[in-house]
Amino acid sequence: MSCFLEKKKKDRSWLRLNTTIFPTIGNVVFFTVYLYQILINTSTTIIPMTELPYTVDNIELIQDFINETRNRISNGVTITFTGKASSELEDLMLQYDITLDNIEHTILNLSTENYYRGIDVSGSADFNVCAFRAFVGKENIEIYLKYGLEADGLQILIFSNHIPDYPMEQPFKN
Amino acid sequence: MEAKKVLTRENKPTDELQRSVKKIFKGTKLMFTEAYFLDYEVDENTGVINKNKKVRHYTKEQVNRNMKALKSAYLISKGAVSPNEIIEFRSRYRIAASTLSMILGFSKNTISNIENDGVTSLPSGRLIKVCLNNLEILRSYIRDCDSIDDHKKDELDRNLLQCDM
Repeated sequence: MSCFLEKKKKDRSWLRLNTTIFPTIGNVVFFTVYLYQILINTSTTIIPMTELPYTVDNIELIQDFINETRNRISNGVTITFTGKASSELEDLMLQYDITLDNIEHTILNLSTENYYRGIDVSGSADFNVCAFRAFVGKENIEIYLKYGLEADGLQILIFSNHIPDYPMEQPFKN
Repeated sequence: MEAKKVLTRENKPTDELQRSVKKIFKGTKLMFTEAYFLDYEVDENTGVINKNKKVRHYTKEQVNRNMKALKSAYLISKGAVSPNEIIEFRSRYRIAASTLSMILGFSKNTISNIENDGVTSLPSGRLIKVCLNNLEILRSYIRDCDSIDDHKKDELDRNLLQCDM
């Protein structure tokens, strides 16, 4: 422990040397570290989901997404859950007696008005992801529902199904 | 026993895996075993698959199974009978699952279903536990059971008395 503290002191003295005796070199070192940190932070920043503006074309786009989901389910594709979504559904079950069938029923009954965020218009991603404000179960519990449709396959992957952390607006609900 | 297979996103069969999960709900610690499979991680914001990392995924059937196991663990924590308690009781007193079902007034497969999938209702789970812990109640239910013949009733009664000594 004392060895570690001594090392720390030495480290600090090295900084003082850089900033006081050789101010230019010290500043360059700090600037490099600063640039490195910015680079790291930028690469790990969560990219927020896009919010489509309310237009006729976008209503059609969301409706296509919903229709594609219904087609897949009616053709026998079963939904898949991520670890996070599975754990969230367990919480909903314990708290509100919500079942997976309730979630599936909600997905099948989504409308464009439920749209919250998402849908990549470029179509470049492996999954087209969309988030909805939806209501589930007999008691119509409000949930944040986010799932993706595999672009080159048929998977329907649930990412989130939980009580919203904040009030959700519905940009396509007039 | 060979592991159950699940199809990945790329339609390749992979092993179903199991792990023990600890969950705390309203201060109660719940333990259950969940089934899952591994597949490539998908970024939920960008929708891009990360081909370098496999993470837990769950099929619809696995989620249903896991939820049953969790619910059963929750009901057991609230005083319902556990599948193991029923199995131990039946083997001790040599009672068939269907017979115990009928004695308690359930349909024929109920006890067997509970042993396989866990309890689904708190009232019935508690009722079974009370009956298994009180042989006098069980004996009276055997006497009153219409779907068991007298010979079988005597045999069950003897088993309960002998093993209880």
